[in-house]
Amino acid sequence: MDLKEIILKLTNNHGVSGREENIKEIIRKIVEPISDKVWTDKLGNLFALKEGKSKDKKRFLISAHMDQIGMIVLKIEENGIIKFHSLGGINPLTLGGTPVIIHGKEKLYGVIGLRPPHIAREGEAGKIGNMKELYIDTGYTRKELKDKVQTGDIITYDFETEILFDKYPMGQAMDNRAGCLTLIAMLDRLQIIKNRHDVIAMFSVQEEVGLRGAKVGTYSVEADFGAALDVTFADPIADQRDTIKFNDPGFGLDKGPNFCPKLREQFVKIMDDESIPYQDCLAPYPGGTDAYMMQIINGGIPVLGIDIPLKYMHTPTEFVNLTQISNAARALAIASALIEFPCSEEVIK
Amino acid sequence: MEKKYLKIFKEFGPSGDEENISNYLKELMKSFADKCYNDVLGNLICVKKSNSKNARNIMLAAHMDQIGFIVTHIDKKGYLRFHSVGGHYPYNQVTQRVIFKNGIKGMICYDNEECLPKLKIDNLYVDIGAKNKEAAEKHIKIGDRFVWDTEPFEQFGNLCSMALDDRIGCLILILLAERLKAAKHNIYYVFTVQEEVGVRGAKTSAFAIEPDLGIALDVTGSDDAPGNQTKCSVSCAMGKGTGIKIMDSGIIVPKQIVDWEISLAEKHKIPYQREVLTGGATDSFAIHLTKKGILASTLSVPTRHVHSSSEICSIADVEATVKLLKVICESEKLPV
Repeated sequence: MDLKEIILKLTNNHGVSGREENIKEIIRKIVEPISDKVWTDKLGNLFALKEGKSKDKKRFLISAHMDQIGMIVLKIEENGIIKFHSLGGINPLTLGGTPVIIHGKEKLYGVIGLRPPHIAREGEAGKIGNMKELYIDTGYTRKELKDKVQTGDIITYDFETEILFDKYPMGQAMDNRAGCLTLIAMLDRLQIIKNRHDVIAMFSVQEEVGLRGAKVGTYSVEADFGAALDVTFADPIADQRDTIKFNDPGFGLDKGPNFCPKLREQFVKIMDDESIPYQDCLAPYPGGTDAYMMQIINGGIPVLGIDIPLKYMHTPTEFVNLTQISNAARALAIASALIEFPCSEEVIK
Repeated sequence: MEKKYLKIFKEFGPSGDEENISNYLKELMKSFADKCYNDVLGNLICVKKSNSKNARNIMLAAHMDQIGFIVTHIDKKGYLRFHSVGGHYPYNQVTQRVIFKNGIKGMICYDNEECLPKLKIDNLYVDIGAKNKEAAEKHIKIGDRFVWDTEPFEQFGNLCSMALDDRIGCLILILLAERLKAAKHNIYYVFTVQEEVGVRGAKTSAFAIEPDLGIALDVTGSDDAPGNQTKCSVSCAMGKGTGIKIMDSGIIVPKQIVDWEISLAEKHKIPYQREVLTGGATDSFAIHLTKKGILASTLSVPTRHVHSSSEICSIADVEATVKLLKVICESEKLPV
């Protein structure tokens, strides 16, 4: 499996929260030949099953969200400029002068206008106002835009992904197509490794607007334990004391209130036995990834957090490291072969 | 507008204390439904079954609770301190008249002029004219809720009232029930509770009903008042038709539902607007994320001055919403 080819496909296409059809089709085509069963649900989550080989098998749900942050058209003003709003946590600083694509009836290219520094108003230079003041200029007049752009059309950054030094993909939507790539690579490895448990890969929707896909997806899968695959802040911008290193072969393994210590302990032992590198990743804030939904939906399940270190999160130039992705895929594949269900019930009376 | 409809906007019903409004709506609904009942949270559920063989279940949700206030302290002189139930702007409360469930009336005043520029609910109190604490406590207890006391009126084809959010949705359901003679689907008219404090009623009612399609009826903003009033933006304006929701803070409506609703509106020449609202959510938020996921949407009535004691909407937009909803319920095939 050529990870580079797939990450280019995953990040040069778009799937903003709530409108993931396009990216879902791309992923479906990749996972169908390497899975036992593939299906979707009403919100658009995509599931792929690799059946377990053991008699006492459990259901292991691994989620990676496939949606990305973007923007949405609010309205077209008299002079043809397009007012918009963020869809997910867009940082306004990334927007000034940025080329964008409006995904209307046809793709339309535009740019987010910014006043030149020469004629900036007092105190305005070097600053981006709030989203309400920004606008997109397509060069068209309002009349010309009439059949092309409508309220509610999706907008994305217009950036092509580059792979730096042949191993660091840089582009838009690495959050969380890097996680999707990991999940795909894991499914691929399960063609060789015999997984003990049923592994259900969930490419979830609408994570960026509040873990919505994971909520209904977790409800329907009824798994016994799970893992959420997402990205985390890598150096040099992370200011936590224990920074995750970007130039290290190890992916991040979460430690925090959403994650089951017993499951993690087992996972760590397997990593050590198999000599797979990982880094401890402190995730003290609850609720940041699909893991949170797995933890509380239905009766709740024990969950692992697997993180792909990423630089410059929520910008059009997110960096990830293919070595870490490859190791995370290997770790999850081996875990699905070896891990024991961590929470046997103890009857007191 | 008939008096019985205007009364919908006057009945007492802040979040968590919806008894009065629920009883009144039940009166209006009972002749149009096979059965009406309240669930554990207090949601009023009125079911009308269809004779059609291919009937699916449609849940229509309008929340009957209104934003209000709750008494937190009664001081020695008989003045009442209070907190918000639902989202309030403190400056909207100054000198408002208010009313309790038992009919006691009062007015809201502020501590002093220094607190005005950064006014908080804590700086406000209710004066009911009681002589002292004992006199006040004969009628009012800590935890009692109260609401604004204003009269609805019609003018220039618009309706102005408190609690248009979301009694206008309740009115839409009543008007629909009156007109819908032979629905193709089983219709669950759900008047939900506690929407204003986090779409709580819709959560449990949708879980119990588990419909094939859920549609919330609610207000949205209107982008046509002077100034830049609020932090959030909206793509709709009063008088331009029913708002077909595309996105708000709670839901991104599935594309096939948006497209279907728009095609119905166009086919039947019902005025509509594509709605994107950047702050606020409706019952569809809870319905959509229930169980394995339920296809859901919202039809909105563009409204000025939402969450004030005098919200204004266009009666023509209400009419357009009822029409589109009727066409939806009469559609043979649902996109679900």
